[in-house]
Amino acid sequence: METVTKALVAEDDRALADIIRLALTRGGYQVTVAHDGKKALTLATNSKFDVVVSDYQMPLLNGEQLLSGIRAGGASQEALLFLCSAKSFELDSERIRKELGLSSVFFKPFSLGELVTTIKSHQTAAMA
Amino acid sequence: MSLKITNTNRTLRHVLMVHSATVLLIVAAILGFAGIPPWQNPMLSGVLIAILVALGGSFALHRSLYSLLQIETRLARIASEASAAQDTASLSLEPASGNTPAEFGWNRLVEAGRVWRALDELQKTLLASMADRRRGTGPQLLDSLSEGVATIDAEGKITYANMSLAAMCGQPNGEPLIGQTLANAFGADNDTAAKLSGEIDPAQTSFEWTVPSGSIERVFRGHRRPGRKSDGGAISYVWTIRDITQQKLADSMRDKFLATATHEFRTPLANIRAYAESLDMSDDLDPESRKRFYNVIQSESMRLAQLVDDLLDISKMQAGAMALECRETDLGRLVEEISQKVEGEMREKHLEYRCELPPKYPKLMLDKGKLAAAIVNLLGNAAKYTPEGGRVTFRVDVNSNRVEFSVTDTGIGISEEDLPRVFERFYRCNDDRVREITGSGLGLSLTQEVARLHGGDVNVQSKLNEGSTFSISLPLDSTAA
Repeated sequence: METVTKALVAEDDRALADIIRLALTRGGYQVTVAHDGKKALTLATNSKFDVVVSDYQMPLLNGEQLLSGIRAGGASQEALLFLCSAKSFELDSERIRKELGLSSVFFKPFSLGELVTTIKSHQTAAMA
Repeated sequence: MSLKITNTNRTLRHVLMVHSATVLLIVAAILGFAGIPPWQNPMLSGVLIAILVALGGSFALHRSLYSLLQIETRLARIASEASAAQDTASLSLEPASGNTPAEFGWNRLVEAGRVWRALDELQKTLLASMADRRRGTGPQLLDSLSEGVATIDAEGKITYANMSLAAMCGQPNGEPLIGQTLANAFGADNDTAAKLSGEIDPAQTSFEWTVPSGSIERVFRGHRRPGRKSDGGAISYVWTIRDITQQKLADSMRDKFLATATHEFRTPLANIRAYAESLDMSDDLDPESRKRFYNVIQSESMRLAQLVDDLLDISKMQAGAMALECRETDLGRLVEEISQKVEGEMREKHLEYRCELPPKYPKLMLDKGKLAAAIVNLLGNAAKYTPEGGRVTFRVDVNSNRVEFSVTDTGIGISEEDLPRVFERFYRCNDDRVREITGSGLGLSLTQEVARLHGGDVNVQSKLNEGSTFSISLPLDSTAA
């Protein structure tokens, strides 16, 4: 029996969250969406997600705080983490990537196809 | 100083030649009597006496003329020195009435002595004045610089500090800084002291350091160049230092603005790209989803265009490049037009909309289009941030000095922390209820600029969870028709 890969999308822009959900669902993921960092952390702590895709700038907790919280403990501690951001030069993405063990960082506007392909390739590499 | 001297050379030379010729004639006469002892010839004795008298007179006259020539040479030298000093004062040493020295005969000897003494005094005064100028010009020039200038000896101690540097270090004059290290003078920490002394990198010539000053940090940038070598061969330095605190603040504000603007542009762009890609890649999309996707692309494109327009308008207004087109405006008509624009939105949210206008109001000179847009923006915000069933009141008040357009709502209100920042470009309140509603954070900034262009301003009063009042207040003297 094939295991369903669970993905959590944390994005406060509802339109973008909807389209990422659609792309991941079409890619075979079971997707849950949260529109703020705090709600996303609660979900990730209580339920096991294989993949977390988070926006950087969100209400209550930003993306770095959320992903840091997920790595600190809880059901999704081992999840593959992906950060999306509309920030550019002012975001020290390399530092965050190293400190939190992020799989990849995407800068808006990004390609949905590339997002899904990258997530899948990291999953494949992680399982190998 | 302009020293003007009458040139007497030609006259003096002429006189000298005449007297020399006289002497030569007398000598020739003596030669005529050669071989005859003068004491044996009474006539010859008389002639010799005459010759001696003539020689004595001639000698005295030569001395007088020689003295005058020396005086003239000295005057020329003083004039040359004075000219080099470029004094603006004018001093004339021209002899009175244009008389030549020879015309005064023997009396010139006495006069020459007097003039000689006077010249001594003049030269002393002139040299002292020139020395003062040389001493004073350098520091005066350095003190007039906006940059701080200091010289540091081989031990790292300040040996000279100009006024700008003294001011940077909080000293009214530079004296207390002499003997201190540069780091001490600025009150810098140990790390900065090590850096400025060259301990960390002796080859470093450019430095930047910060010094706490009240609630801010002042930033300084300094460059050092090696000065002359002292006896022991150690190098002293000349420092030039600038206070770049304001420049750093401006840079920081520009970077922050650029970062915020970039973020705001990328967000709608991300949606447009994602939805366009989804439309392209998903052939099996149902017509309803397809239509929804197109709508998202359209609305996000409009959001982007509005963002660009608002940003350009604000920039133009702040740069003074946007002029008002003021025309005589009827307040009643203005309020009516504004209300027509917002009533639909108020109805959709089931908000009670009230409009209060004074019974009498003057006609005003206003840019109706821009002012209406500013007020519609305030009413739009009130509608967005007031829960269903709430109330929005648009009120116009006119007194002898001002006209005030105020929008009051019973909405979510603004926290005390957010209130001082609501007019900042791109600022959005740190409230989930605000973040859930689309907005660029430019509307209030735009409204404020419109009010300021009319000579007025926007005020806000708000209480979290109770509501807000935004008021555009314009002076009547600049708007009275």
